Amino acid sequence: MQKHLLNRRHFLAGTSAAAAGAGLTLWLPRWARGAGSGSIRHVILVFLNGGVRWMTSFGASDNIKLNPWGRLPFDLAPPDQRDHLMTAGTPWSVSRMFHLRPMSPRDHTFAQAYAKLTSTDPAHYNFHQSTLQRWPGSPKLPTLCQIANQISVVSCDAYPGGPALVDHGAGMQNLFTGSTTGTVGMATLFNKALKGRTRLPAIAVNSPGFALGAGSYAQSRPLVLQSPLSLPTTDPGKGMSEWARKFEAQLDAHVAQSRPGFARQAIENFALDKQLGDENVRTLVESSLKIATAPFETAFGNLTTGEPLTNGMLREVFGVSATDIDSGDILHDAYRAVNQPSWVNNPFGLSGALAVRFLQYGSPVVAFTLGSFDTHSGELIDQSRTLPNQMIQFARMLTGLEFALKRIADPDTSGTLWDSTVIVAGSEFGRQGNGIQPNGFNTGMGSDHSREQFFPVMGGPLKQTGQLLTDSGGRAYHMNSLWTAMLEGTGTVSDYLRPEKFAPIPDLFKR
Amino acid sequence: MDRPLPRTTSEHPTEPRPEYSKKKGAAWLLPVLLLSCTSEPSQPPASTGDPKPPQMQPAAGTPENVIDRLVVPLLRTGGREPTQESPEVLCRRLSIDLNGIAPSAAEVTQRCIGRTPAQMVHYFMNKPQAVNVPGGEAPYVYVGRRFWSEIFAYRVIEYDLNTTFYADVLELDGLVKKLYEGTLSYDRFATEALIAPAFLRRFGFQISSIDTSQTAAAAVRIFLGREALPSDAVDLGSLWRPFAVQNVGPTQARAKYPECIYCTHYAITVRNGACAGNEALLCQSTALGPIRLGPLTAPTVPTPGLPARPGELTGATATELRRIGELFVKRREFAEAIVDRVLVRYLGWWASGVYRPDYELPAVRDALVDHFIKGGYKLRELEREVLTSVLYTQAAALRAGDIAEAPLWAHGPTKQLLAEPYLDTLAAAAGVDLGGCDFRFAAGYNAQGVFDQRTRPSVSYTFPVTPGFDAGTYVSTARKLGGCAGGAEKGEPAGLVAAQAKREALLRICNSPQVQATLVPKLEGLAPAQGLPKLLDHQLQLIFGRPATSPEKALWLMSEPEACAGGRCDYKQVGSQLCMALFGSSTVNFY
Repeated sequence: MQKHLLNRRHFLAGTSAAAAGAGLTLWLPRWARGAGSGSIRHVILVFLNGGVRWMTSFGASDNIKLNPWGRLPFDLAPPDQRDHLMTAGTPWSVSRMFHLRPMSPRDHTFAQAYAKLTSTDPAHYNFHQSTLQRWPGSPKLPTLCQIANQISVVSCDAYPGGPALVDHGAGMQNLFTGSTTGTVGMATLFNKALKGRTRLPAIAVNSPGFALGAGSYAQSRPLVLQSPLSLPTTDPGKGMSEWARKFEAQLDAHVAQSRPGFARQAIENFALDKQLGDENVRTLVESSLKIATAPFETAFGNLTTGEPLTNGMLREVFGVSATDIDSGDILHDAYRAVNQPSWVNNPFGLSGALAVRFLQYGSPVVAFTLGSFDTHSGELIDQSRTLPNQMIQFARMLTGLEFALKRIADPDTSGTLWDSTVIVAGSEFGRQGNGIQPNGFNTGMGSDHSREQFFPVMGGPLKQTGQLLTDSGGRAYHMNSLWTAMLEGTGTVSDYLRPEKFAPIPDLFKR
Repeated sequence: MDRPLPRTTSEHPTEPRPEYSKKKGAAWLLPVLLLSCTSEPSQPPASTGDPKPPQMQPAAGTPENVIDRLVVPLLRTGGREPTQESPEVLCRRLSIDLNGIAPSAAEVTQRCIGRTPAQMVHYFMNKPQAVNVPGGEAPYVYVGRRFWSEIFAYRVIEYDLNTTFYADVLELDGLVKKLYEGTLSYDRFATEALIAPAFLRRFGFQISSIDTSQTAAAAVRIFLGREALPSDAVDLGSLWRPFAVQNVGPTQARAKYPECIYCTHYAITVRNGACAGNEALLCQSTALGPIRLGPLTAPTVPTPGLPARPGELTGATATELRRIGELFVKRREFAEAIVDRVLVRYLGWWASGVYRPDYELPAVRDALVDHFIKGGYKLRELEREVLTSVLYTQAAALRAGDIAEAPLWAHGPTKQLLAEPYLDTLAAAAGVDLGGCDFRFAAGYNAQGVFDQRTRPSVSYTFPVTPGFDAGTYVSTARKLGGCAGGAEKGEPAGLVAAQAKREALLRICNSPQVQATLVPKLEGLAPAQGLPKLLDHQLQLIFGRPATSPEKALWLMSEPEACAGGRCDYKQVGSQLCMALFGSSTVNFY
């Protein structure tokens, strides 16, 4: 049994200070950058909090007990949204949940809502493509089923063939760091792989677990923000003179020099945090990052056509508030079902918009945590939170990312941000549980923890698109095989994730 | 110890001592990287206000201490005599760890210099009150309670008053208080805590659903110090089946808890008839040994209209439910977990982060576990044993000739100040009251710094605030540094946001007239050469109870030309900048 002693207060002692021990002694991670940069230059990591019921969404089963929503009847979709039907190989199964209008307990009993899960009435579905009025030419936003052929889904597991990992804490640590005792977060890992080619460090929004870093990774820890709304508003460094800052840095160096290696690196990390903060706060206070509060016309960067990208355009494409989008948008259905017809600051949308901005500013990695997917009860209908409500918000964010990244110029290349960005979403475990009844729900009309995971992946560097990815035996990959494949896609190798044991998923990304 | 050694302090690496630094044969001495003394600024004349000459101190380690009996021979095997930390530095270490604030200058002089570590520990463990602790409570007990509030995660979600009802928190916090007062043994504490509503409510017992495997996983994590196997968590979770969540409504709740201002009470109750009849086979587990809870009868309800709370149970039902805790307590890993927790808390490096061969000392754990069990699970005794041991009391700084790669246990602890000790130390040095926060409740200031009276039970602590300061600064800064209860802006003690949060707070505090009045002495008319050293000494005296060390002074004097242009200084402005530099530096932030 593994010891699990890290807690938040222990962060300093455990992670920061431990860095030195690792870096200076026995554990010396090999790190090699490839001769040329890989196709991946940006990564967006999305943590869907609480354990997602993947088999009702991205790994849609046709077994009612596993997926009471069933698979999407593509013939109900408009003809121009059925491209995924043409996907060769092993296409991933799209759930009906993504397009069935979410239902509310105000006008549905559970039985009525349940009956609609097999509906073929087009009125019960939403395939509307929102018109983006604030974008040049008023283009249409794609729907989830329309971009399904650009997403691949990785069937994965924390311990294929081993015990199920269905505890929140252990599952999160495993997801964030590659093992239940891991000390390097994936955002840190990818930041180490990619920094130096970008202008901002990696950013972890409400995802400190992705931002852990020990040993030689400590200095690659991302900048951590508590929420998309917690960006600094002032530059406190301006009030401190250069000489005082220099004196402070000299004191830091003096104290660090006086300590043994283990403590020394903690102190050096402390100094590094200040240094990076001082360097980057000037960017973080920019109004173009204040998606929720800055004037809509605030602009930063350009589309590939040369037009500036405004905050208002990002608000619209991500549906940040009810008033930002047209009335047919599926987000309205999702929010109405949980009695919030006039929402503001949709966290999924706000995070998506902020991620785009950070990529524009040069962050190699953006990680954020979204949702509350621990749906032990009230999964189908509930006053405040249902699985469809959240899954549609997430899908809407994916369509927004697909649309926006393809049109935004990468300031560091001649291409688009889409060309060099990989988006991955994961959770600490899946949902199903032993208590599932034949109708597909437990006695609380929800589902319980289970091991099956299906992580959606998309982006320009993705080589295999539209696929359900399993190993050659049709089994789930180890989760780390996805991470090692992504590292490979960056043109980097690190033995932290032990690629010799967790071989990269073959040919997942372009070289 | 057979001979005294010269004093060494974190701030004063001394001359090389070849008797250990050049000794061959110790595995950890292989890459001998001598700390270069030549890089240190030369010692200025004594007339510039140097600290007192080093005093002779006995070497660390006592044969009575169970840790020392093991570690001192280990150190000697490596060719090293343990060197006791200077009293000033050890005083600060103990005061921050045990009382949550740096010691005052008077405490350093009167309670630490010339005292043994055991005497210092005794003083700080039994200090009756402190400026950073509300209600005249003993700071050691208060800081211990705050420490456990993190473990039990009383409050993590802003404004979600249902996650942990305040009365439940008071009950569990009361158990922690007894633990640190020494009136409740740790085994009894665990037995009660495992059926406390605040524990259940936070781990698995939600309003709309109950997930007892989460309860079991948390119980294993907290009291056995490891992750439960999923199958074990499910199996153990059956033991909490007698409990349920019941909405009793605000009116009834307020009738019982008049202090509750914004009160919706979802009570954790014991179901009458649980584990009986058809359920007889449900309330059993084998993960920690076979156990089956018998039929349970909720006793007469003390307050009409409200369900019986676990804390109110007596008689056979209470005895039956306490069997859950007894299942944990009888295991050796139960004692191992708390020993680890204490060692992690006070040493910083123990079993932390990435594994390396010396990141713990299993023999030390074993010895402490035996000592703890034999002594009757007394937490105070366990802590005293650790705090007076060579692992805690030896010098943290490298001695000249030391190697950076020495085993982790070859030096005393170096840790970073957590949020509340940082802000409380800053306030004390600056001579102002910055406020504080009640570690039990997130109530008070929300993420936007707006106070919501509804969220604050009338039993909340209050903290004085000097006029001119905004109490929200304390709460907001502390939260960004990982302290204070509250969810929305909860941060980590390290990281870029923490660094910027400190910058922002120091900008406000160090530039305030009240703080300038304390931190900047009357220096008008003095030339920079005279005024600047006095300014540095003055601030360090307020922060550490000592004047500047030679290296600090040398570094400071190198800054002079930029700080004071044209041979004249605006000492208020320089003093504010110095305040920001010192409180932003590792000198203050690490101890």
